[in-house]
Amino acid sequence: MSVDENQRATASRGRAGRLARGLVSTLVSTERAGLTREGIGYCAVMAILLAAGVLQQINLILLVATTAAGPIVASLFGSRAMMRRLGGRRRTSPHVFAGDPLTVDYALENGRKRLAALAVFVEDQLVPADRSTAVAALPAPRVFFPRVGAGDRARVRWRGEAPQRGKYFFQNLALGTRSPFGLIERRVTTPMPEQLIVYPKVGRLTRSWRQLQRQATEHRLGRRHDRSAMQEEYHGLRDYRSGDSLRWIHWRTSARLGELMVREYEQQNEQDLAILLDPWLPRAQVSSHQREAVERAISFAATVCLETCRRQGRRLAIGWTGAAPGVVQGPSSIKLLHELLEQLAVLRPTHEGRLAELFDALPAATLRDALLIVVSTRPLNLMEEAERSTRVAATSARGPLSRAVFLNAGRDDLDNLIRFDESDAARSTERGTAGDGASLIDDRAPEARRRSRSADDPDANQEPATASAARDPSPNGPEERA
Amino acid sequence: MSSYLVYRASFYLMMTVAAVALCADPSNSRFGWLPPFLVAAAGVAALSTVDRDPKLGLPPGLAKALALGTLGLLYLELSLEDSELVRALGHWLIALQLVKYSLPKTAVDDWFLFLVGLMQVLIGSVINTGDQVGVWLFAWALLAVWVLGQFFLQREVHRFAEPSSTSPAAAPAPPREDPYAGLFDRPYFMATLRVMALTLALGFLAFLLIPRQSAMARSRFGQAPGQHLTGFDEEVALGQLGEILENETPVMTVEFTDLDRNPVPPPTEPLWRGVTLNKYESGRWRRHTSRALRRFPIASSSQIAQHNAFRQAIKLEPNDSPILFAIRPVLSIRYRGFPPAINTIDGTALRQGARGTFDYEVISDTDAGAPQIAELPPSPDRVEEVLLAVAPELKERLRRIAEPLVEGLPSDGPEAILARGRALEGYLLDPRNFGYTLQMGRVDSSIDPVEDFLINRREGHCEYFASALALLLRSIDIPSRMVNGFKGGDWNDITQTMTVREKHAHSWVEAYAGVNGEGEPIWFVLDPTPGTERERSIAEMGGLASRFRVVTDLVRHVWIFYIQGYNADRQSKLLYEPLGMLARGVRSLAFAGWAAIASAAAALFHFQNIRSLISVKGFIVTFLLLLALVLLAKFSAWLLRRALAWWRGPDEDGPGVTAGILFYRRLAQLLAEYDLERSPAETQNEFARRAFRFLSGRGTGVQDVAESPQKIVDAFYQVRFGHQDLPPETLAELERRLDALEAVLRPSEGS
Repeated sequence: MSVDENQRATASRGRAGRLARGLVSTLVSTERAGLTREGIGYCAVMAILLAAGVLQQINLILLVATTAAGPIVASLFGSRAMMRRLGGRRRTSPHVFAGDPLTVDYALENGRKRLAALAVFVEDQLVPADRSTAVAALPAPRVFFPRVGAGDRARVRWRGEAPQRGKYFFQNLALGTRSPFGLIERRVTTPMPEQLIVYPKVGRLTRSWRQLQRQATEHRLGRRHDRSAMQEEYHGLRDYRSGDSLRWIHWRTSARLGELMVREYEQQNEQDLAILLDPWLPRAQVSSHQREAVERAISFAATVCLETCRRQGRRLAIGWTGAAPGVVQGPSSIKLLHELLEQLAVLRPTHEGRLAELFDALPAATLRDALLIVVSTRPLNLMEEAERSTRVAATSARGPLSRAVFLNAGRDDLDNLIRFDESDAARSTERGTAGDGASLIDDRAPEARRRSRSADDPDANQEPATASAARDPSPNGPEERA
Repeated sequence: MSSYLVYRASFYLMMTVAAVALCADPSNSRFGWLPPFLVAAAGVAALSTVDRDPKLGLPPGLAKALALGTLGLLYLELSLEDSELVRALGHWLIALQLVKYSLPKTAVDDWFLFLVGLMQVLIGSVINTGDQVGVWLFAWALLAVWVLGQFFLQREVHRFAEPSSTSPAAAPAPPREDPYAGLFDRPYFMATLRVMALTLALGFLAFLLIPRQSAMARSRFGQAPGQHLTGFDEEVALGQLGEILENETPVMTVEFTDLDRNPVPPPTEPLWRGVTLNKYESGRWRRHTSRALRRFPIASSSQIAQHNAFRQAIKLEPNDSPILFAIRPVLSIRYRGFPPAINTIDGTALRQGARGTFDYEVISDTDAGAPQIAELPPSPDRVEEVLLAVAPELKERLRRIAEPLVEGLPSDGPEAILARGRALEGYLLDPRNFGYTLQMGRVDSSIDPVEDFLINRREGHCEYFASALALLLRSIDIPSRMVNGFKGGDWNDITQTMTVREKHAHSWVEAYAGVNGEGEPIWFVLDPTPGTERERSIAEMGGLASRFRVVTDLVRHVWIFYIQGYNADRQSKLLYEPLGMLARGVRSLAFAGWAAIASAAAALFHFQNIRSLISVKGFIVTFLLLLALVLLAKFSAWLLRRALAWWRGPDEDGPGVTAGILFYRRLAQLLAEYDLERSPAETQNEFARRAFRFLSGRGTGVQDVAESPQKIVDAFYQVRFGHQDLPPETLAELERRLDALEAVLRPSEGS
């Protein structure tokens, strides 16, 4: 299943949903108008004139003062007329990686027959599902539509940086205008809930990680030097990536294309992998270093998931400690990847639980065969934990522990295994600009992705940007128009 | 057309109009046109330089120095004319404005300039009280509304600009591409006109509703000297009045009401008495220098009620004369502020100062022969030295003309004086003897102009006729004086007001006939000017403008009485009384209606017993009740639907329309260009079949896409009625088909 095919949490369009929305809209006013800062100044000048006219009883001053009152009252009617038959819509990817660019497309449709929509803005609201997340740090999308012709539609893309990992909701979409004079701002708020999951920040696994994996595998199977012993099968050619072995370079093709190309091998019957996360934090006096260690551990786990799920054929499990330890596992796939990343996105540090309990929660097959990568933020003695575990102790503690690798995130064990460098960020930006965060992990052909998006949003294919929008040098830039 | 340039040009035009409103009074100075011209020129210069490229603006240091230099200009102007402080401040604002023009401008700067313009308009409104300021004020208000709208659009672009591209403090460069391309289309102008009309209408309504005091003045800062009123000076050369007899400029506007303030028609040929001229010497009339000014007596209501009187609400335009014009005999003059005075020797009413507009109310007696309150009879010495003074030789020659005309008439008593006066008046009025003309000239310059008029020229205007009569009266020892004022005016039936213009200036004669039983002086009014010829001469004035006088006078009336001179009395008359009457009428109607309904209902719903329900009346009552119930239910349902639709907004047919429907819309739009539209009685399927037949018959190229409408309609049915989502493959297929159809149906655009 592709990312785009995932079910979005959009507004219900059923009868019950419409009825509920109508009821809520009836009870709670969705439209409000208020004086702008300039409007307040304008009113102050007008009041001074009015007072002078009344006190001095000079009709011409009164005339100027009351004429000045006209735009204020006309603004009430004018702004209401400007907002009539306007519809706003948001389109965004349901997932994005922390630190990646967050792009949201906003569309404004003018359903009027004659009058163009002028100087209308859209303001969006992103709120965390978890109330403990700092709201001030959240991006507040805001886009401006200078002019949308009668019966026309325009789109503007907003770009920002994705917040920290977690589950968020776009809540109300506010359509506003200060038309016609900028003295009164009227905004119509439409409930348009949409979920956004910000996955943990991902980096790039280094060669050390591969070596670590290989060592662990060799430890299980015995050292084998030839590649055939690795049971890898030639699969094709691909671009050179940082960390690739120089031995894999296919020199003839590289010379022909002018860029480094490497042979790609598909591992056959790779060993199953289980990441056991122990996001432990002390109950009190938590240092920033400890918090960073937790995030680093989660990012490492997310990166391993991402790399592992690129190819099929290997089982992957993620387990985490806590008051109620949990495990998600399955054959590597995009679907599993999303499940794991979502879980990691909302994973909270804990001061409860032990690794032994997690051992007990692991499936038997995983405990029996999988390579166990234990990532913790505290020093752990695996032997002790194994002994505490009823299931491990019941069998043979040496079995699982011989396949376990312990990494202490608080001791910078992860630094050699994962890298968050500028090139990653730049590549992430490119990926984000090209489409949405989902393209990171969607290896299908571009055409298939496009079709998939079409299924999700039928407008994507058929609504050309307006001529005015194409020319629009708005702050958001013409290239931001769809 | 770039919206930014349109905004800038409109802004500078508005500022120019504000400067014109400040300098609108033509009597202001000879260089009154200069500030608006400078503002306009600076606007053009700024538009072509600094507004296109902020780098072309003045260096900030130099601008500050120039701004300081404007203080020197202010000092210079005040040292030349220290009484014009407010006007000088207005000019200083213009100088500051010119400096600001030459700098790059942020939104804050534009607000500042807007405020400067407003201040100029305000100053112009209080120091200029002529009609012109109204025109410029109106033009400024219209432009201000337009500019506010344009200013808002430009501000919004700046507000949503990238923070990195422009800092808030920096002046924005004009956008390379217009964000509002295509803004100025017909619907936009229509909407702008609607907003303008609404804005001005609301503003004027608020203006009318604000509570007023009873004696609202048109201006209390109107210190600008008004126009010179020729013929109303201390000394008047014979024929001088003819200068203004060809002038259309309004002098005053008058409303006539009775003592209860109900409108009444004006008197026939009213004489607005102005200045009294007593001493004649060699073609010049002079006022007698001795003055006996006293405050005009305030008559009580009971005193006024004894007379058959009427009111005149007079709005005097600015002029440089202290004379107050009124129909004699005047019983009372009311004015907010310092009360007017009367010269008890010659009966002239005067105001304090001679500047700006002047609104006053006069109550006059309808009996023109009644004595003037507070006027004293002339002493014998004054009669001898002033009212009978004529050069002896001239008197002798005039006597030879006058005596034959009064021969045989009684010589003693007021009636005899009146009879003799009428005889001389009749002589001058006789068209066989004299003619009316505005042409100046003398036949024999060696003799007195009056004698030349009587003997040689025999034609002239009212001043000649009045002078001749006054001197003829004096030649036969009847004391007389000449009065300059106005006669009649332009009556407007719509506004029920009379506009008195300079061309209505007139001279007539008052002959002294002694005192009555109460010791009050008796003055007979004699008007020797041929009325018909004078009226014809007046009617010929004005040319083309006189054809639109009804309209222009109406506008002027609104401006003078309902804007400049709008007060509590007028407010009550215009708003509160009609509203009160309406409220009373509605209330009484409601009571009557309720009583009628109650009695009808009582009769209808009264049943003796339950059995009497089974009757025709019972059937009708039941039917009506059920009908009312059904209507109520229908209305409630309709109201609920409307409320729900209103609250839900246009979402259902807004951006949420699904793909199949949008494809179908695109298809319908394409086919509509070929007049192929679905009739209301036709289903989409039938329409698709018709489209297939239509396309099949249009050649081989089109036949390939003839099946597309059916495919799209099938998809439409799936979405619209089946509530199904279309798979991506179908969407892509539909898009491809529509593209192909469009390429075929719009070959020119496709190529």
